Amino acid sequence: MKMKLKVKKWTTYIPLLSALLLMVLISCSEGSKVRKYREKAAPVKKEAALPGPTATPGHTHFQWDKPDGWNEVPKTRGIRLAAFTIKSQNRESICTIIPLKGEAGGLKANVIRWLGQINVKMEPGSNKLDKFLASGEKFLTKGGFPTVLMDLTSVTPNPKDRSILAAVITIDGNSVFIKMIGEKSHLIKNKEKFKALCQSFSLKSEM
Amino acid sequence: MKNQLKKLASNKIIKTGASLKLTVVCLVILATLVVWGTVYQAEHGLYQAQQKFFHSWFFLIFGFIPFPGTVLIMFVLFLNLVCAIIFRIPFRFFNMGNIITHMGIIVLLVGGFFTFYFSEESSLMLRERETSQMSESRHLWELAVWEKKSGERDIYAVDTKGVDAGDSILIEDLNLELQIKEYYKNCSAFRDITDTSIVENKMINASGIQVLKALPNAAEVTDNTAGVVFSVFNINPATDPHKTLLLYGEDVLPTPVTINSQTLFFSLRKKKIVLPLSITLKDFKVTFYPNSTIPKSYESRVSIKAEGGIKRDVVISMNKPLRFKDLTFFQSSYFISPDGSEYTILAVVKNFGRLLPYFSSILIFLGLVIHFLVKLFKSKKRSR
Repeated sequence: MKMKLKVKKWTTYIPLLSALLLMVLISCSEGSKVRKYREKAAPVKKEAALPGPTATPGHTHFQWDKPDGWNEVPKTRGIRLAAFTIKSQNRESICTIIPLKGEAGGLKANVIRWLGQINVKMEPGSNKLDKFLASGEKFLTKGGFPTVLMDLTSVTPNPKDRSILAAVITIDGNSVFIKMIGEKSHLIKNKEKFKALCQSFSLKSEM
Repeated sequence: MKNQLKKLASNKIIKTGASLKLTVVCLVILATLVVWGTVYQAEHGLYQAQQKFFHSWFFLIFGFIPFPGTVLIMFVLFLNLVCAIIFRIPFRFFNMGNIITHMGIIVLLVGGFFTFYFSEESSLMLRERETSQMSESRHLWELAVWEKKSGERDIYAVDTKGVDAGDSILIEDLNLELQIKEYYKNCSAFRDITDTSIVENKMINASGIQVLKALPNAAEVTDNTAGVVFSVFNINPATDPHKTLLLYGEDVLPTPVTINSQTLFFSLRKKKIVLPLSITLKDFKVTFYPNSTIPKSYESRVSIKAEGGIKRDVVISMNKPLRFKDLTFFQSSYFISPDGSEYTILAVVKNFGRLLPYFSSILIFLGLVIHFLVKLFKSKKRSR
């Protein structure tokens, strides 16, 4: 018994052939069209160091006002945008400006790390740490970037102990760390200048 | 029409195109590619093997002998099946099983085609209590431009896949034209350059990067870091001189440029994909094998909300992905930061052809059942 299908019109193959044509067209097409979408200036979580074997301040497009009496280190190595030395009465402190990707671990993790660097212990999740984090001074820089200034001298016991002043500036989800390390008493003396440096951070206007 | 088809069927090219010999040759080459690609992958990495053997039309052996790639073989196989159905397999009732099976294989190939060209893979990293509506590609890059704004902002993004030196990109909303001068799929960046000819070019970069140097593709695609050098022209009103920017994928800062008193940020970053739902990570749990740091299982309890939809809680675990429209969210990895914050990493796969393999499997199964039943019926009839 052989049953032949009577109807086998050419139209039967239209879907098959059009699919084939569509596939050829799609596979040949390419395009770098502009997409538009809306996003919040959300922080990026990944931390990464700046590329390249060495670095100079170069022509970075951020600017700041160097406080009087501070000496800019002429050739900064590593990932720094700039570095300063502050000398007075046989004491020296160092201040650096370092850009980092995203939150760079977040404020809390960095504060814990900085506290460790000056041998002050605060347990993560403890009230003491939460209180200290809340004491951070918040302000906007000249360029309108939100900044938190953490004064670790307040938890450093002795005036001659090593301490840290640190500011985290947030720029479109990325961070710039301005950090000053030196003797507690020296840092206290230079705190206003440090704050002024942070507040002066802005975009270069000539572009 | 039937006569015309018969005429066509006798054509040599059509005959070859529909022949079983071609199918066998294609399958042998395909098997060779699979074995070769697998061996190649061990030394050169998954991405290189994929690009050379499975995502190519052809490649060169020893730099001059062409060999067909999987894309070409699959395309020939597809044409071969189409020709076979139209010209070789008789359209009879007793052949129905055979035809349906072939149709099933065609659907499978079409599904593969859609997956190859349209599927998008990205990842979503969320901290506990964090909400996001955006995932990030693992290897594709975008050149993003936005105006200086706090809070929400409009991003104009150009996918850099297919972008090459000499290309021109118009961003009409911002009155900008970008002319690509150099594009690197993988490169390294340098700042401490003493060559004055390079420094005099004065390419703008927020971190002070002065030059990019091309690198060969990394073994894993995710290890590539793109770089681009381009000129920005204001098109309305047209301005000259233009500004030349240098962007590097791992650059820590977006590069700001002021054009006609408007400050714009430029960044070369991993492609962002806007999702049709927002996801909040409510809780992340990880359990370890006893006395080890090897995770036994991990799961994310998330709350999802589509536009205009109702908020609902879902658990995504290692073998229980979340499916939403044409998106699938897989529990891919996790991260615990030094301060103890837990992050989940979800792989987000968008695939329009997701259901085609199921459909094709049903067709092939049905076709084979019909075919065997018909054969059984025929042999029983003969034995009588």
